[in-house]
Order: sequence, then C-alpha cells, then structure tokens
Amino acid sequence: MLAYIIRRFLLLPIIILGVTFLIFCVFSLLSPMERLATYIHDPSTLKNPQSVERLINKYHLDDPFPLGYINWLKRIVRLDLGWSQTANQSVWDAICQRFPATLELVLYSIIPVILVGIWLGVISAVHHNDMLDQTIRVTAIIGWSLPTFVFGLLVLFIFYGILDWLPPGRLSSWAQDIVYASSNFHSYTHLITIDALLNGNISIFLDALRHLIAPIITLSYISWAFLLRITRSSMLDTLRKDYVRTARSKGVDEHTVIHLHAKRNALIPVITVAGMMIIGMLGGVMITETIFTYPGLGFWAATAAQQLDSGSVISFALLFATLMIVGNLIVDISYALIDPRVRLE
Amino acid sequence: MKRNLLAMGLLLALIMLFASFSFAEVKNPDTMILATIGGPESMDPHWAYDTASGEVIYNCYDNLINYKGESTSEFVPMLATEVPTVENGLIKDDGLTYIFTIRKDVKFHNGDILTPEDVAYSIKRALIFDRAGGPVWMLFEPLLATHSIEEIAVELAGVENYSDLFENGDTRGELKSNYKDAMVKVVTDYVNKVVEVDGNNVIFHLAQAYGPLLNILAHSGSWASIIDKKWAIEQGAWDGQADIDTWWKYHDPVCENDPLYAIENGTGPFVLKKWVPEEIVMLERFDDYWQGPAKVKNVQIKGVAEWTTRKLMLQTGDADLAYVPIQYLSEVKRMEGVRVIENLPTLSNVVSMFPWTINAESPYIGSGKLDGKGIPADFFSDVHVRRGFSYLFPYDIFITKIAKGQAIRNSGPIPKGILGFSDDPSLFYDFSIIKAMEEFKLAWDGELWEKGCEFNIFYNEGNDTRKAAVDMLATYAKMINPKFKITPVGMPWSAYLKAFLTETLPIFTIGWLADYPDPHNWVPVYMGSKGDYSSYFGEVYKEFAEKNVDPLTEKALKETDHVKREEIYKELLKIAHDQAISLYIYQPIGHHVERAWVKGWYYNPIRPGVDFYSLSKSE
Amino acid sequence: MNRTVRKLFSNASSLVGIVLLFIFIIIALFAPIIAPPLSDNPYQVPRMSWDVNPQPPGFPISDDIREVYDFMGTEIKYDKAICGTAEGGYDIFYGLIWGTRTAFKIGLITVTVAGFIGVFIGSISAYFGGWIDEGLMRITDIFLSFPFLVAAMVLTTILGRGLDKVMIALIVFGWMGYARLIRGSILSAKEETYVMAAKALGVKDIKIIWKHLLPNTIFPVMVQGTMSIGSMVITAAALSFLGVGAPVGYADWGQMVSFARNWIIGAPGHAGQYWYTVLYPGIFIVLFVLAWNLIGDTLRDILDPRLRGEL
Repeated sequence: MLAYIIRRFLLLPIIILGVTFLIFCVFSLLSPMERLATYIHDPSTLKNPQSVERLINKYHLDDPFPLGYINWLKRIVRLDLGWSQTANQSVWDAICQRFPATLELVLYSIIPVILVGIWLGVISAVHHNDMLDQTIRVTAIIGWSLPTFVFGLLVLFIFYGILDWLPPGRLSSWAQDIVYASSNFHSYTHLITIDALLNGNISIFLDALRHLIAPIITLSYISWAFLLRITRSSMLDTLRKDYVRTARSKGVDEHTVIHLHAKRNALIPVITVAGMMIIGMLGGVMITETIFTYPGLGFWAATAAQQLDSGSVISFALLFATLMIVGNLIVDISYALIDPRVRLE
Repeated sequence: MKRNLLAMGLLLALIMLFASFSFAEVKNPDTMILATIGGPESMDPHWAYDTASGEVIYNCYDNLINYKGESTSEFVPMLATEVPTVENGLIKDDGLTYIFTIRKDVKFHNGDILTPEDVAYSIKRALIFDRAGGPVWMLFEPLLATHSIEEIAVELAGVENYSDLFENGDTRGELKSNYKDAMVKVVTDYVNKVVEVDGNNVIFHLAQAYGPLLNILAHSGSWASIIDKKWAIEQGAWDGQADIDTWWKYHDPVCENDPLYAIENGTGPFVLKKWVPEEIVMLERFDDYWQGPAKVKNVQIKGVAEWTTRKLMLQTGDADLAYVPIQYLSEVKRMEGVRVIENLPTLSNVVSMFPWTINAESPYIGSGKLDGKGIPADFFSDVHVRRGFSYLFPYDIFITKIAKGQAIRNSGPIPKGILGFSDDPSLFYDFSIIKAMEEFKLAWDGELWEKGCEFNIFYNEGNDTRKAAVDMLATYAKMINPKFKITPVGMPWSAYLKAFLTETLPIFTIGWLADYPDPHNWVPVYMGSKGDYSSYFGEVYKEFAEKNVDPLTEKALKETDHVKREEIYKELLKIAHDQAISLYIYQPIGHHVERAWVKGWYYNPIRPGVDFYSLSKSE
Repeated sequence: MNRTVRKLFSNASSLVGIVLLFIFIIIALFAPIIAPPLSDNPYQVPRMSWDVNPQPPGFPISDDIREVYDFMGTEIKYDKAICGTAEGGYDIFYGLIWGTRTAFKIGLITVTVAGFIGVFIGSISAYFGGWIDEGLMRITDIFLSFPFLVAAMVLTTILGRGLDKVMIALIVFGWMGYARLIRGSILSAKEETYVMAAKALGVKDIKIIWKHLLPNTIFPVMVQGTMSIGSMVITAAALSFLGVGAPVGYADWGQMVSFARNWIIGAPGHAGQYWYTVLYPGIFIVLFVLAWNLIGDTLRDILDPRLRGEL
C-alpha cells in the first residue's frame, strides 16, 4: 500500500512535465512571426520591418525549441510563470485573481449535483424499469444531449432578460465598489460569499449568491445526469447483492434496506467518480463562465487559447494537470482505503 | 428525515433568493458605468498604443493643449497657458521652435505641484522608453526626424544593428564598453536637445518643420501626457541622467518590468482607484483638479465580452454607456430609456490593397504563372487589373446591407473629417460590371481574360464584415468570367499577421485608425514608399512611390498654408485614383449609445473613448 | 447478437432512438436531393442575403444574390429559406440538412479512430504488463491530465480552421477512455483459463489478443463509443461556439447554433423574435445526440452481464 502511494507520488512530476512538454511541442508548430500575433493585434503598430525584428528579439520568439523549453523550465523552478498577454498582468497574478472565482462556482455547484444526482439515481434504481425510472432516465439523457451554451444562454435569457432576477458577472456595481476598493472590507479567502459572511455583510453575501445561481444551474445540469447514471447502476448492482436479500428476508422494511444498507455501499464507487467530476468541472467551466461573463479561470483560458497566448495556456494546463493528477491520486487511495476488497497492483 | 431536510433546504434557498431581490433596485447615482469589450493594456502613457488604455489615460492625465470641443483642428490651452501659433510668436524659426508657458498651481494626484521640469522629463522619458510597436515614433518624427532612439544609437556607434552594441546580442544585458561614449552622446547631443526649460517655459526644438506637431501633443494623444518627474523616478523609471543611470536599461522594457504599468499619477480629473485587468477599471474623482472637480464621483469601465450581457445591462440600467456593434444597433434603438446618437464620422477606414509584387514563394498564388491556375507574383502591377477590381466591388450594396448604412465611401486614403477629403465624383470608382470587364480584357495584353486566374483572398477570422467584403469580390469576379477562380479563405490572426509580414497575401484587407487627425497620418501610410501598409507592396511600387508620391507628401508636411496643403493632397488623391492603388471599401460611421439620464456627452472623433469629466447623471 | 437486437427494439426508449437515427440516416443520404447545392462545394452554405440580421422562415432569396446566380447560369432549385437565415444570411435549412452528414462524419470518424487507438494501446498495455503497461498508462495519464477544451482550442487555432483539424483535435484527446476501459477488462480476462490454455498451446500473442480476448471484452468499449458519438458532436459544436472549428459558412450544426449566439435575446418588446436561429439547429443537435444516447443507454443495460437475468 505504502509502496503504491510512494510510486504514484514519484511519477507525479514526470507526468506534469510530460504535459508541459506536449503543449510546448504544439506551440512550436508556430513560426516566430505567428507567435508575434499575441503581442501585435494591429499591424499598424509595426512601423517598419525593424519593429518586427525588435519584437521578435525582445520576446525571444525565435529561440529554438529545446532552448525555449529549458529556459521556460528554469523560470518555472523560480516560480516565475511569465506574463499573460491576454490578461495584461503576470500569469501568477492572473491565476490568483481568477482561481477563487472558479473555485467558488465549482464548490457551490457540487451541492446540487451530488444531491440531485444521487437522490434521483437512487429513486431510479429502486423503481427500476417502471415509468418513474424511464422518465428520470429520459430527462437526464435529454439534459445531457443539449449543448451547454444553448442551455446557458436560455437561462440567461429567462432569468435575466425577462425576469431580471439573476444578472451576469460576479457582483453588482455597488458591491464591487465595496469589495474591491473599500478599506473596511477584508478579503480573507477571496471567495466572496465566505468573505462577506466573515465581514458580517449579509447584503454582499446575498448579492454574490444571486450572481452564482444561474452559472451553477448551467454548470451542474450536465453533471447531475452523469452522476445519476453511475448511482443508478451501482445501486442496481447493490440491490441484487446477497446481503440485501438477506436483510429483506429477515423482515427489515424496504426503506431501511434501501437507505441504510444498500445506499451506503452503492455510494462508494459514486464518491470516487464524483471526486474526478469535480476536478473535471474545473476544466469545464469555460463555456459557462463565458456566457455569464464570470471572471474565473475558464473564461481566461478560453481567451488565451484563442489568441495563442502560449504563456497563459501552458500555465493553465500546468495548473489543471496538477489538480487532475493529485485529485486522481487522492481518489484512488481513498477508494482503496474505503473498500478493502480493492487490491492495488 | 432526509426528505424533510431537503425540502427545508430548498425553502430556505427560495427565501434567501427573494430576500436578495430587495437589493436589486440599488441605484448608482454617484457612479457612471461603461460596459465595453476588452480592457487596457497599460497605464503607462509611453507604453499604451491601444484605445482602451488611451481612454483611461485620457481621464487621468492632462496634456499641454486640448482640442476645442468637437473640433479636430482648433486647440485650447490645457497645462500650457497659451496655444502656440505663428501669430502670437510662440511658433518661431519657420516652425522649428515651439514655446509653451506652463500653468501654475496645478496639482498631481499625489499632491506634487506641476513644474516645467515635469514637461521636459515627460518628453525625454518617452524618447528613452521608446517601446517597439509603441506610439513614441510620433514624437521622434518631428523632434529628431527619425523613428526610434535605436536608429540614433546605431548611427552614432557606427554599427548595423542595435543588438550589435551588446554582449551576446542581448539588448537586455551588458553594453559593450567601447560603445558607452556613443550611447551617452545619444542623450547629451540628441534627447536633451529636443526640449529645454527656460523659466516658466518649455521650448521644443524640432528637427524639421512639422504641421501636425500640435495634434500629436494635444490631449487624446496619450503618449504626450505630462507625468510627474519626482514620482516617476521614485517608482523606478529613468531618472534623467545619461551616464550615472544607464539609459539603455530603461529602454523598451517588457511589460512586467515597466514600473509605471499599473499605476498613475497625473493631473487629470480622475484618479485610478483600482484596476483589475480585463475586468474593471475604477476611477475616483480628483477633488483638487485644477479645472474644478468632476460632476460624477465614481467611474467604472467594465469589460463585458458577451454582447447579450452588455445589451441586458443597458436595458436594465446596470450600464449607463455601452459599446454596441453596428449590426445590433437597430435593436438598441427600440429600447426604452436609451439614447442613440448616430452619424458620427469615425477617423478610420477599411481598405483592400493590391501589392504590386507578391513574394514569389507565396503558397497562395497557385502556379505563379498566368496560366489560369494561378497568378504571377507581379499580377497587380498592371493597372488594368487593379482598375478592374475597383470597378467590380458592389460598394453601395456593401454599405446598405453589410454596414447597415452606417458607412460612407472614400475616394482615396483620406477619410471624411480630415483635411484633404474630397467627394469629387470623378475620384470614385462606381460599381460597373461592364467597365470591370473592359479593364480586365485590357489586362496583360488580353491574356488574363483568356486564361483566367486562380488565387486566394484572405480575411482575418472573426471579422464578419471583412469576410462579407471578400466574399462579394470573389462572387462577382466569378460572375463576369468563370475562369476567375478566387477563393475567400479565413485565417487566424497569427497566420494572417505572418502572411502580411512576409508579403505573401495576394490581396489584403486592413483598416487604419487615425493616430492624430491630419492627412500626414493617412496618405503616406497607404501610398508612401515607406508607408505602414504600402511598404509591403514590393520593390516596383517602392520605386514608383519614391518618384511620384514621396516628394508630394514631404511638401505637404512642411506647408503651413491650409489651402495649399489641400491642393497637394488633391493631387495625391488623383494619383491614388488613376493608379487604382487600393480598393477603398468604406469609412465607418460611428454611433454612441447611452441611457437617457446621461448628460453632457459630446463627440470628438480623435478622442479615445469617453470623456468622463463632461458627464453627469440626472433623471 | 440477435437477442441484443431484439431487446433493443423491444425497449421503448431505444426504439425511439433507433427511429430517430433512421430518420437522420435518410436525411444524410438524400441531402443532395433535399437541399440541392448551389456551388461546387456542397458543404458551403449558400447565402440568401448579404444582410447581417437573421431573416424569418419563408424569407425569399434576395434580389442581388438571385442576379448573381442568374448571371452565372446556375439554376436555383429552391429559393426560399424554409427555416429562415442565420446571421450573415446563411440558409438554416441547408445548413441543417448537410450538417447531418457533417455530424455523422464527425461522430463516426472520431469515435472509430479514437476507439482503435485506445483499444490498441489499452490491450497491448494490459496484455504485456510490466514496464510496457507502466509506460503506456503514464502516457495515457499525461493526455488525460489535459484540460480538454483548452487543448482542443489551441490545436485548432494553430492548425487552422477546418473540419479535419477539429477531428484531429478530438481524436488526439479522445482515445484515453477506451484505453483504460479495455485495459481493465483485459486485465481480468487474461487470467481466465481459456487464455492460459491458449498460451500453453503456444498460440501467438497477437492471435490471443485478437481472437480470444478482444471479442469478449469489446462490449463496454462499444457501448462507450455509442454514447460518445453524441458528445463528440456536442464538443465540436462547443468549439464552434468558442470561435474555432469549422470554417464560417460550413454546414455544421455547431456553426449554426453559434450564429445564433448574439440573437438569442431579441429586440426589447420582441423577446425571442429570432427563435428560429436557436430552435431549428438546437432540435437537430438534441435529437441526434438523444438518439445515440438512448440506444447506448439501453445497450449498456442489455450487455451488462449482471442485469442479464432481469430484463
């Protein structure tokens, strides 16, 4: 067991390195002039061919691939992630600024996803193959078949356009003023809802929550369908087990059988999948954040990818890869700890 | 039990939701909010060359002079007490000397008082800073008759490239010791000579007579903003000495090393309170502003990339001003409580250009020969080809359908609103398939018509207007002769830029936005031998321009009489027409959208963005 | 096999899926008849008008465009935009019909190729074990750790717009699931007695994998593949929405929806006036994906050995 954990930890940096190497490879497909495009949005700012030379020189755009990668590695070791052209600030600052926003969104999304997904999955399994099951399954599948961006835009339309209940962005203007510029407001965690509570400011708390609802609905609605399926099949599996049959034959009431005995064991694989899903969400927020103009990592990553801002993209990929791998590891280990039947090879 | 808990949870959530609605009607009476796309790049006036940065700098910094209201040619004093003219004697020596008397008792945001030293420092630091791809070339042209400080350094030191002056060619590294004297001379003999302080006056010494100098220095030109010398040096900017602090270390830094990138200290009506890049810029009124405090206490400039979101913000009043792209203008006009001001001539145009010589290795010219499967590299050097395409484009359909009527035609490189503009009908190419056919039949001794041609036209992806223009050209070309196989292709910006720089694009469509409102910022760009765009037309064009265009543009630059200048530019327009140098697609007409409770907005075509000092809010 | 097919038809939801799929297949096959192309590239959606604004269903082709076609001698076989036009005057109906072919292309090609790659890597990895397994699985981890959408966007931006580039991006980052699946199955299957027996008889490794192991372990992969066809189409649509992907004017459902992006909220007082820009493409995407999902979901239930007795 310990050996397994140690081995996985040792492999961690190798995999991360592999990810960054791959991205670097992809970017090296671009010629220096094409890479210039991240810095120049208008050819009119290049007054003469010398400007092009100057710029290529200044940003080391013509460094050969191995040199470029090694230089980048050297900088990363010093925790210097470089400059983000798309965010107009250093990459580190860009990430620090946006990470709490995405984290807040994902954390709050987990609740409805898990509650609804698992709840409906259990119901679906218990009523296996009758109308309720079919209805739930079909609803889930339809939900899964609709592209996020259409759903998100519709949510925006209904809840903002028509009802004016849930505006886009992260905060209203008056709240932004207080959070960003007032000396009375202390940002401890940069999760605005938590900070608002810590500062004792209920109105900001509610305002932030209000801005979160629509993105949460959009972000979570695909995920709960997925979780539903896993829960359902796992629950079906468990309900057929011998010990469940035994409990039933002993006269235990159905309700207790389902919720006390079966569900606990059925949820084991579900939890691990949920763990991976949460991390996956961190990468999947791009579209949701774009639609609601929610200033998180996803929005920035989408812009950076489009404008070929290599510094930002590589750093985002690095961050995401690290989270994925670490998360994966934690999930695998906890799975092994929880379920003694699992053997780790 | 669980079910009850869940129900209670939902109920609680609903209650909280409704409770929060009571805060939905909080007004922003003290704040003016602008919802737009994108955000500023830098707060450093000598770095910024984009409109978003220009807008913030405009509101936080002042210049020596300002434009008078809506005019782009009349000036009023700002930090100088009088606008120099030939009549009042403040322009001397045939336009080589300009004298500015500096206003007293003007405060910077941090409390420092404005002195003539600050003005001199601002100019000199700009010249030292001189970032590649930045705006300071505009100061170099009049003051030192060159484009960059590196050109001066290279000449004084007698080397070929600026990087030759440094160890390992690393311009951020150590200077080779034998060049130190030459480098110091750059400052002592050149930079320090362009501007001197004389009592309360600052005197500019130009290297050549330059009509547009006042335009370059006026408010709207963020590069000529006056910064606080003491404060800048405290932040780590160049400290004004040539040899003690080596100037080349302050030259052309990368953004993260620019000490003034995120902070400001100007004399303008607003202070930068907070800047979250790409998200929001928060400005606060400067109560000690020398012209009196602004009417609005707070300003927020929000970056909202999604149009539907911006539109909803405008609708609900969460935004007071918003950027509305042309195609959605009709929807906004029907909104309640929203005011739309139209017919604002913008100082910009969109042009399709025909390089006389295309890079022979271009992959976009097919076979490279006039055999129906490609075009030769000098395809567009034949004036009949160029004229043919000029007749082929359906200008009016484009303006009505694609630009929704919010555009006008230009006959040549000078747009409406700039001296020299002409709507003389003889200078326009009308859309005529017959005339196009005639011209094409004359091209290349009739071979073009017989054999046909095949090539790609490119547009930068994400720009639907340009795509439509390019589609139209291709469609009509095929229409008159099925052997004209022109394929429109969209390219990502990176590839487009590269193709542009390597002169491989057969026809490229690009726009230009005025740096300052003078024809000298237009004609050389599109027609000169060293123009920003025309320099990519190849050797043959260069020779033509050196002979026929450059002498005229030089003459017009130095001419002080407006009428005479206009005549010279008319000659140039005629050349542009006769030679069909480019296809002038359109000049956009702008519009402004605001909530009806916003008061005080006025239009000035050269101003970058909104002048918040002039605005107020009342029901 | 027969039993499977019968079960598919007897289950209500999968029957719906099969019918839907059948309709789509018909549309794809008869596209040139339903929506005759007006230029040599049939995937180029014709413009009904140069107008930027979307036009409502029934909009007739605008005069200046009709002029062009008449001049060129092209016969216009239908001249009304049955489903309206999208931003830029592109005919929605045409885009949807030919987009069916594009959807099938994207879905089938990416899933098949990614499936092959995944199965190949996964089975080699599981069968040979040891260092090979370790190495291949680490490589799989590397690819899995990528933020998929970002990586796909970067790749398509660099390679340029085009359907083939989108498919490359989807394949490059889509094979890992299959690899893991097949690896898991083979890991357990290879300890079975029949495999041991084959090895003892000296049967070649390749043959063992191909003839014995794969046929018994391939089903989960097939189920996963069926479900993935839908999600591949959605991902391609997402890429179009984010601004990369098929070239503008290409008949692709994602394109059609992305055209609707700025028109979902109509003019004030006319909320939803551009409903057709969203509804028609939206319906097509949803039904297509739904069809595959319904079939795949039922297939999974059928092929799940633990449920075999219950259905």
